[in-house]
Amino acid sequence: MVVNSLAFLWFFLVVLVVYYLLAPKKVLQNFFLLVCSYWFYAQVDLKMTGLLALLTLIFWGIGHGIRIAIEQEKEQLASRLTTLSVVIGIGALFYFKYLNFFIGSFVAAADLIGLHLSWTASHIIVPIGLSFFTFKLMSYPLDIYHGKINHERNIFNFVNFIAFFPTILSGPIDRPKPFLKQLAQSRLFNPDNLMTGFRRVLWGMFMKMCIADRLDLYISAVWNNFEHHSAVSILFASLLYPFQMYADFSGYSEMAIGVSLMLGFKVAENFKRPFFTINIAQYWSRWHMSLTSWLTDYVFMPLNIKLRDWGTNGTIAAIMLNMTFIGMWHGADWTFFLFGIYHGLWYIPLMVSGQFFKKTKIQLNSYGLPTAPFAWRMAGNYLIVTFGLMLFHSTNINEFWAVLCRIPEAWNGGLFFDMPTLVNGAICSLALIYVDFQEEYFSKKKIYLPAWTERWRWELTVTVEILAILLFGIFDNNQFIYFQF
Amino acid sequence: MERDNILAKVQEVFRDELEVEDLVLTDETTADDVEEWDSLSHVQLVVALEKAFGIKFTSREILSWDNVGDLVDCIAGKI
Amino acid sequence: MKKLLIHIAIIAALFFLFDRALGYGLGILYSQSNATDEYKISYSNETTRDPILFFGSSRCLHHFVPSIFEKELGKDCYNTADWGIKNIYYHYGLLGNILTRYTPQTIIFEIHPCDWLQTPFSGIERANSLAPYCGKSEACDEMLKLSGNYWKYQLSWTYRYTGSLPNLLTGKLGSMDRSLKGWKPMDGILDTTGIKAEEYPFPVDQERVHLLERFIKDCQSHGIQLIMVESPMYVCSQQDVFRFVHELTQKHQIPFLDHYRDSDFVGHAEYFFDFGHLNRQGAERYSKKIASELKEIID
Repeated sequence: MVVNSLAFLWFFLVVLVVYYLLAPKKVLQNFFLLVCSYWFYAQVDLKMTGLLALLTLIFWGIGHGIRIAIEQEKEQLASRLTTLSVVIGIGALFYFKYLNFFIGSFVAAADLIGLHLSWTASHIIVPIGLSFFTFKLMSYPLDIYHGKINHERNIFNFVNFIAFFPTILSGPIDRPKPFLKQLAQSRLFNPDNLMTGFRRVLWGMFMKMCIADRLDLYISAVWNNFEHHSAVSILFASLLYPFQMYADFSGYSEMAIGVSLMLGFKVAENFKRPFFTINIAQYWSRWHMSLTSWLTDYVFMPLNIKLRDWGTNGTIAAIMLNMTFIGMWHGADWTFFLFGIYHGLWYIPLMVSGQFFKKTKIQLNSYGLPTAPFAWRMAGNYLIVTFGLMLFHSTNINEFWAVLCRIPEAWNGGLFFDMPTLVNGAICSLALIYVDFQEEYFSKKKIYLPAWTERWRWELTVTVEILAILLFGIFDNNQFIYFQF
Repeated sequence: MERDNILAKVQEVFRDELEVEDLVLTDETTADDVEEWDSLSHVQLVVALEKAFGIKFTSREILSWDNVGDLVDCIAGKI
Repeated sequence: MKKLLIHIAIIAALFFLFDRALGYGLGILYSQSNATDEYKISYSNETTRDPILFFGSSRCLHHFVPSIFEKELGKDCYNTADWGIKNIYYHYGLLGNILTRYTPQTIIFEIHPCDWLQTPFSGIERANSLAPYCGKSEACDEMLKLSGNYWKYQLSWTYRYTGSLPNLLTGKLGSMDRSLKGWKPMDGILDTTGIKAEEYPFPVDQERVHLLERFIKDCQSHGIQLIMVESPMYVCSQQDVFRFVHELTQKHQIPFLDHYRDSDFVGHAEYFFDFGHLNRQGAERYSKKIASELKEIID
């Protein structure tokens, strides 16, 4: 059940009404939320609902054990339990996500030396949301061990934290402390939360349905048939891809964050206009922020601390490992591995030049926009990201290589221009770009509109956004591109 | 070493490493209060502190600090 | 709570106002646009009054030249076909809409496997092209209800034109030449490297078959002479793809001009634009051939 579907709309309306009716009774409200979250997950992945519950129980239990061990000053036991939790978490990820990939790679390598194996694990299906909720699960015992939080005595609160339906499928990835704190009180009916949350949901729908899904028509038409397209088309589609991904994932995050807010929860932010950045470090601090901050806190920092006596080399090693994990988190293929390495490598010049450790202030000109040198660096950064995403986009290394080879081959060829798709996409993209510029550089300036609109500002904005979604959004398979070749 | 002296020395190390001359630290100061202090500079600070005080922290200790006060207490326990 | 309900009521009112106004304006642009979809769908549903109509997918769109048929048969013709693998879900609704305005004398139907097989690339969503005509006829509404969008189109007039704003804004600059009465010629010659026959390994779709039968019965009950046609392909499948159509047309006593394996065209790359569509020369030659056959059948 996707957030931008009628089924979810009905589900959520019912949930909202009952949820706020139960508001004064915190225990009932939380229990109702729990039931809704599990019902939701069961709709999406019934077979794995049991696994979700089981893992949640295990991690809660381990958290309890670590707390007791610390109180009784049994250092080693606490340490061992923490390690156990990490092993279970990584083990679950490895089994469901990566086992088939490793077996496949091993079999391929064995093949090269003439050893034919028929091993396979392709029957293993990844539980939906696994990459997200295992990270939430693992952060709990780790935070207890490092004294950041206390064990959550109320098991229902912990179950709610892990299974929270707006964010269980694709994040943002929340941390135990801020979320459990919010579960400790009722979420009372708050019209502001409902209105602000609803607007974020609409904005997310606009980004996803009007920009991401629309541009995807074009990008897929070119990329899936790259053998028949010109270099210009392939390059253009590749350049669109980071922007399309941004609209897609940020749009989805906005919907999740908006739905959460309508339920009275403030969850982690995920995107902060990532293309207004001048180097790869800045980029990652604004792209999929809940993931990068998780990995920074639980992977990079511990590594960096362990390797601190190696100086800059230690930090480089920590970054390379961290970025490799980021790459592999996204998928089980060598393309993702190389994607991670690629990004890690771009950190090296930053660290060597010392830029990594200092916050570079972007200079603004008299119009309030970045000066030319910084604008160029932003453009350059976008290109670096584009190339990395070409790797990311490819189904496998062979495809990536084939696409690269096609480019010089098809140099003389016109741009594939599907007018309706690109114009629809352009109109909506311009709206997003305008809003992002507004928020990045002109957030302190007030936009002056006629007085009568001020009174009904929210209503007008909502109406326009809904109409825009209806006019520009992708709803079914009836929109596609005609490409005759 | 007196606790206040430790705090003063820590403040000096922070000022040097983060290149903020007028930085003032109290027990309650956290990374959120100081712009230049993030997860990256944190490790540099740790290395500098270890050098300045001639001590070694464990990873667990480093990750357990919530504010400057925790840090100072940790140092005090080692010297 | 009360404040929130007032906000929601205002939104509903604003939405109704803006949506109807916008939908109305878009509807006007829709009839005036010369973009392929917009022109073909609007003219066929709203305007045409020609006694002879051609129905079908993009194969019909590119193959039948009304001027040639008009000359041979002495009656006005219009080619209602549109691209995008339109299937029986669309055609059935279109017929319903046309019948609210007038009764054509003859319908020539270029049938395609998607009209009776469960083709994943062409299904009920094709009926959504009838969106601007929600409410025009029972048949049309029935198709829209099947596609699950009927109530959405009733709720929002703007939604009926989703995705089509660029084409609506191009107006006269669209690619269709109205003087050609619905035909869209294609200029160019097929590149034959690696061309294989198109296969249809899909099961029969009873719902579509049922709709085809209803289409036939509706024509018969309105006294419309229905003729089925099958155009040639550059390379043909070894399977007896159109046996179903032969059986269907025999059952209902309908003429079926099966040119799928027509040796005048099969294998002749110079007549094809791509593997499944004739180019301008091919369409003209083919139309002449069909026209002379039709002359024997049509009064």
